[in-house]
Amino acid sequence: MHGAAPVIVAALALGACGAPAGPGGDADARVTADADAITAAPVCLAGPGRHRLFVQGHQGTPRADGRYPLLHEAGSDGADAALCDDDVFVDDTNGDGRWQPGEEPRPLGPAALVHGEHFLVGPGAYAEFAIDLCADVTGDVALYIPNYDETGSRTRHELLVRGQDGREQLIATTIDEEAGQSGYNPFVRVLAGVDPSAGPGDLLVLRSTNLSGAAFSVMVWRPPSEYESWLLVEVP
Amino acid sequence: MIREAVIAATVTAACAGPDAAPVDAPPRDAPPPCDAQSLTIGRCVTDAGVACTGALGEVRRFEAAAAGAEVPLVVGPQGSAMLVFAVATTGIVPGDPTDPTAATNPQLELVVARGGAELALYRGRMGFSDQGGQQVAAGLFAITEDTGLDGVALLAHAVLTDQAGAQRCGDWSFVARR
Repeated sequence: MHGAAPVIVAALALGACGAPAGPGGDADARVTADADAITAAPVCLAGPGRHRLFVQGHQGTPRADGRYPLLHEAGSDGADAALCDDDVFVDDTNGDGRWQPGEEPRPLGPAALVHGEHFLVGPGAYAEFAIDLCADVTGDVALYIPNYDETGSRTRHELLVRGQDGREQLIATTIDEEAGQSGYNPFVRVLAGVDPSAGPGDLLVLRSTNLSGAAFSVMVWRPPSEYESWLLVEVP
Repeated sequence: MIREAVIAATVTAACAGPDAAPVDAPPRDAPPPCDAQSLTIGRCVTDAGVACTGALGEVRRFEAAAAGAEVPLVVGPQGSAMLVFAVATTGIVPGDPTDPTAATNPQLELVVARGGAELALYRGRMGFSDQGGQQVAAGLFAITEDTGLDGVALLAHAVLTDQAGAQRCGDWSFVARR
């Protein structure tokens, strides 16, 4: 086990602010009967700025292509939900309003986020997480991945854009070979990757591949909690 | 370290709305059977002839087994249940069994199904070795969160695509056993 589960005094899950619906989405659109109806947000990532994408837990529903969704929330006007706002989501110790390594997340997460570790055992085993794109993304990426691992564990994380023709553009890659068998020791990287040429119809994919064979997991632990896996990407 | 949760969070107007508790989603349908059986799914055993467990350093082999044979349920990380398979075929670009990053490695997807619904999915890109004139890959760990599988009849379905685009497909009915 990854250690005693922390006691959550009170956990607040932000309501799904028009969570993505349709192919690849996990949550139904919410429509209320009154005049302030919240409609479904676009099913794809768009809007300039930095976005936080959450790995859906293993108990969630995979996309039709077998990849698990990267969850992103937007408000009724299409603007990012508070989960993309580092003033809300992290303990912003230096007060600049922008997450950086060392600043810990608060126990918040999308309403559609569920529990489940994505275990990879054996060399070559991989899991993919994806979101459709409606806009280009830059090469600037941050990864925050709590994980289970064992002695000798080596896992490669790749962020890439997959075109409709199946061709892939690698944005950034990094290898986790750090010890740390719990969500208390997340794998954290800020990467200056290759700026891809991406747009509507493309897929943004996080691929995690077990290289050594020793067991590894991309962790989503009893959300909302601090033990959720997420990444930051930028739309120019 | 115990973390205090945020009891009151700044919630923007755009985030106001009902809060639904996440629920387990229904499983996907199992894939249809192969049109032709060109990939044999079997058990994974070590050089000592016992079931593979995932331990580092295991030397893993393919072991053929008849329909309805038993596959051990291995306790995996964090107590999860693992079903461990191996596959055998011929006539593919085998890739490099010593390098999981080799671009020449075939891509393999194996689904374990129960009652027509997907129970577990394994995806991997691993090189194939020669074993008795067949091309084999052993150590395909399908991890499931279902704990009530002892004695349950299940179906494994695997599809492989090699670097040249050649495809192989196989189905195998088996019984999970602790």
